[in-house]
Amino acid sequence: MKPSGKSELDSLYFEYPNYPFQTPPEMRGEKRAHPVVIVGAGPVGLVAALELARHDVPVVLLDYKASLNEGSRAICVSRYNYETFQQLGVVSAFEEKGLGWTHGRCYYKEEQIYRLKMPHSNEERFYPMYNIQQQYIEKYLADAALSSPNISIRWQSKVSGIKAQSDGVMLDIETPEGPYQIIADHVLAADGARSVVRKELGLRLKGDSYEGRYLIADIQMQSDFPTERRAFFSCPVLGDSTVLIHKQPDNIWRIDYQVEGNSEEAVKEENVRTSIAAILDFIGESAQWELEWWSIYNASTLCLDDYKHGKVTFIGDSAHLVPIFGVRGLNNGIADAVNAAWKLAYVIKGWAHERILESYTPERRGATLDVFKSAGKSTRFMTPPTRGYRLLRDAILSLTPNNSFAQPFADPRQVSPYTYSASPLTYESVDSTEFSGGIVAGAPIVNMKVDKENYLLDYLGLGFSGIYFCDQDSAPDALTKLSSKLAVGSEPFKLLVIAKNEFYQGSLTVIEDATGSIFDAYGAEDGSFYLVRPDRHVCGRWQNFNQNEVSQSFQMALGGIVE
Amino acid sequence: MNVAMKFEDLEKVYDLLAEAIDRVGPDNEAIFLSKVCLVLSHKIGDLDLVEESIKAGEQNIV
Repeated sequence: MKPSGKSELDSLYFEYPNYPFQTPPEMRGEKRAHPVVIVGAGPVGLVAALELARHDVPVVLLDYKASLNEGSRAICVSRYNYETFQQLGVVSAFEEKGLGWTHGRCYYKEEQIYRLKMPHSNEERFYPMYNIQQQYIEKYLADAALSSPNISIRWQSKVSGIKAQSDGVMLDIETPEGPYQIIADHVLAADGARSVVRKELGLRLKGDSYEGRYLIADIQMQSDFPTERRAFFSCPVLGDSTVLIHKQPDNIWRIDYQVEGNSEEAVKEENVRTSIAAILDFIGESAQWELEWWSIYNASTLCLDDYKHGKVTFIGDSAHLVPIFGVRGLNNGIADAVNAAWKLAYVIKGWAHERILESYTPERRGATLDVFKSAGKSTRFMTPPTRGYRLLRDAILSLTPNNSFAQPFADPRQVSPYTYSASPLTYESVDSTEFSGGIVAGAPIVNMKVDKENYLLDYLGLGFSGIYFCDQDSAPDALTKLSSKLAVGSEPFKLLVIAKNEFYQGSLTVIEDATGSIFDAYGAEDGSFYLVRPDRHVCGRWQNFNQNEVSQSFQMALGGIVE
Repeated sequence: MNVAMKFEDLEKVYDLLAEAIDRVGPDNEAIFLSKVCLVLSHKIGDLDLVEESIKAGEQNIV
C-alpha cells in the first residue's frame, strides 16, 4: 500500500522502468519451438532464466506486469545467494548497493539483552547477509536478462491457462494486443504465492497458517544507526508486541510490527503512521521521516506435495510459503531456481539423464521442510500462540542477559543453505567417514580466500569442478587424466589443485595454501578430493582420491548414464 | 553432575512446558511450575545447584 495521493509506482528512492509490450513471433503467425518457458519475471524467475542462459539454453520469460515489483517486500539476501549472483555474473551491482551485516541486537521491554554475531571470518568474500530492496534485486537481474542473447522477456503477458499435451505444455497468454498460445517442452512456474499455473493445474499448497500478523512498512529517514537487525520483544509502546527494524540502502528503514486485533484498522494510513511514530520515539529517533510503502503479513508454512508435475516445475513462492522471520522466502526461492535450472539445462542439452529432474523435489522440498521446522520455532518465539508459549518466551528473554544458554533461543535462526544429504545425486564415499571436518556431501562449498583478491569460487568452472588437495610437489597422473573424462558437452571439467607448496604441472590450476587454511576448512589431507556440482554443492568427497568412485559419483550426479 | 543440556533438548523442554502450562490453565500454572521445580530438585540432588538456579530465576524480574 502507498500513502494517499501516491500511485503504486511512485517511490521516494526508486525509479520504476516501463517495459513495453512487444508483439511476439507467435502473434505474427510464426511457429516457434521453446525448450523452456518461465512464468513470472520476479527474482526467482529471473535467476532461473539467467542460470539456463549461462548454460546456453534459450528461455522465454513471461510476466503480466509492465514494470518491477511494487513495494519492497524481500530485503535480505544471504551470502549463499551472493555467491549465486557471482556465478550468474551480476554480483558487482549487488555488492555496490547492498548493505552487508554481521550483527544484531535483541531487546526485551526497555533493555538490550543480547548482541547477536553471525558466523563470519575474513577468509570469506561475502558478508553472511545483505540488505537490499526487492526492486533493486529485480532490476539488476532484469538488466542482465534483458542483455542476454539467450533470454527473451515478454512483459505485459499474462498466463491464463495451461494444458499438458503430447508435444509439450501449452500456455494461454493474454496481452494488450489480444490472446495467443505458446508451446514449451518445459515450464518453470515462478509466478509467486498466488500462482496461476498452480491454480490452473488444480494443485494446492498444504500446511499451517499462524495467527500472528505483522505490518511491514518502509520509511525514509536519516539515521546513523549501523546496519544491524534489531528485534524488540514486548516493545512497551505497542501493547507488548514484537518489532523488527532493518536498515536498507537509500536511507530506507524496514519496520515490522506485530498487529493485534482488526487488520483492516491496522493497515489504515493514519494508524500505520501513529504506530511508526511511537516506535521511532521509543528507539530515540527524532529525525523527519517519510512513509514509502506498507503491507500486512501473516505467517504460514505451506507447500506443494510435489514440486514437479509432468513437465511443469514449481520454483519459489509458487511451491512454498514460509514465515518471514529468518529471511527464507526469497533466499530459498533463488536456490530453487538455480537447482531446477541447471538440471533442466543439462537435460535439454542431452548431457544428463531426464531422471536428474526427479532429484529436484527431494532436494528443494527437503529444504522447505527443514525451513518449516525452524520457522515454526521462530514464529512461536516471535509471536507466542498461547499463554504457555508466551510465558516460556518471556522466561527465556528474562534469563538471556545473565545466562548464555538462553541466547540461542533469541537468535533469529537465519536462513542457512540446505545440505542435500538424502539426494539421489549425492554420493557417500566409502572413506567419507574418515573426514574429521570440512564440508559434507550435499552441502555447498565454502568460498575460501585464496590470495589478496581471489576466492575459491573465482576459479570454479561453468559446469562440474573438482578440488584436489596436495602436499607433494606434483599431482598424480590419474587425477590429470580425470579432466577429459568428466567434461560434459561443451562445459569443461574444472580441476583445482590446492597445494601446500605451489608447483607447475601442465595446464593444472594450482593454488597455493601455505597457511593450510583451505585444507582446514575442507578437513583435507594430502590426496583428499571434492567433486562439485554446477550449483556449488558437493556431489561426494574422498579422503583419498579414488578414480572409480569419483566417476561413479559423477554419473550419479547426472541422473545415471545417458544412453 | 554439572552436565549442560543440549540445545535441541532444551528446545523440546520449552515446547513441553509451554504445552503443559496451557493444559493446566492459568489458575494452576504457578503450582504446576513449583511442583516441576521440586521434582527436578529432588532428581538433581544438589542443594547448591538448586539455590543457584533459584537466584538465576529471580534475576531481571521486573
